Amino acid sequence: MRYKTLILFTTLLIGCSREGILNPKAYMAFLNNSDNGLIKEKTVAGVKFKIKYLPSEFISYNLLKNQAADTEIKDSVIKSYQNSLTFLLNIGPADNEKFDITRVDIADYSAFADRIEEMAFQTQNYISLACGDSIYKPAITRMENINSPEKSRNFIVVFNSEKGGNRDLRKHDMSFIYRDEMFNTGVNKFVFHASDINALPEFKF
Amino acid sequence: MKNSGNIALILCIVLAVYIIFDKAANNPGKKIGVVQMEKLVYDFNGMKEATKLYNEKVSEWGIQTDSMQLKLSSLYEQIRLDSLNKDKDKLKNDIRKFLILKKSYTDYAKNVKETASEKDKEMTLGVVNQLNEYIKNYAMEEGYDVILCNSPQQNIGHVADKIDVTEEVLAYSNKKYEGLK
Repeated sequence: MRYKTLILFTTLLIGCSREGILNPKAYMAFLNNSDNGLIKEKTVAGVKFKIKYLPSEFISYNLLKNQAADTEIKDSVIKSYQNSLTFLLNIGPADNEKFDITRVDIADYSAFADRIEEMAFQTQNYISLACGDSIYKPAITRMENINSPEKSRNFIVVFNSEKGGNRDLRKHDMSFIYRDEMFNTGVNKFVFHASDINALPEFKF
Repeated sequence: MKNSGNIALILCIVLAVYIIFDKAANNPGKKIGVVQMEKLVYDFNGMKEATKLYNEKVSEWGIQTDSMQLKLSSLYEQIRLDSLNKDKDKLKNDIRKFLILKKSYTDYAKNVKETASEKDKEMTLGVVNQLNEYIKNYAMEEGYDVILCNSPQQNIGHVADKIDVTEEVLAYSNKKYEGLK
């Protein structure tokens, strides 16, 4: 009896400790842990680039978290996002800098308007995803928090697979390429390994 | 008793000498490395890719310039024929077209030259900024206090091979440029 209890206890302990199914908070922590390879950073000439892979389940959760959605709706939303790969690109000042990325090296309002126009509408021209032998251009690049008091700005970047699903993209290591023409930092590459993306734990919400 | 005092004195001297030598031997001083900037810049993958991209752009602009030049040559030939045929109205009209096109061509060529020069500067600055960051990170990771950058004009008179870290920094920079850890 004692022996059986011990086995049961050990099994429960192992079951609880493995990162199989995570709740939203734990899932977010997992995504934000750079050891898991889903978030990449690089600093050049005082500008910091941060790229985060956003899994379809996580985007769906953010979309539905304040709504009463049944399993059918959830599944349909998740399915719709599974046709693409989404990344969050954040461009901001380096850790030891304090400037606002939309205003750095800007002399007047006209230059500021040009900077915002370039960031909002031309960033997608500077982004690509090298995956296997193919180069993908973003299907959507949307700048967020334009008027925010934050020093950095976010860009949601979505790539579509040519084959109508993201599984073929996830077979290969991917290089997210940002060819900077605004801050003189050159070409910046961020490699996401297929093994890291495919090792994502299951997410329940 | 006198002997034991001498022995103690000798021991103290030996100990002091040992401590001084030991300190000198174990003090590594500053760790210094030197990189040959010309080699580092031109062998850096970021520079190679940027140059390729720049050449593609220049080539695109060149196609447009060539096409305008061809049109100008053709119009010039037409003017010559108009002159031989003594077709005054057509000659006048073609000269007018020629002058407009010539002005467009001159403006475009000037614009291309300026843009090419600006892009060249931007590209080089991007590459140099990245390399500066990689040199800094390499120095921090490998425990260097100073990494000196030697220019093609040899602003450093002599560099011993053992402190020349160009190849190491190049390998490190290329790895980082490709987005690898």
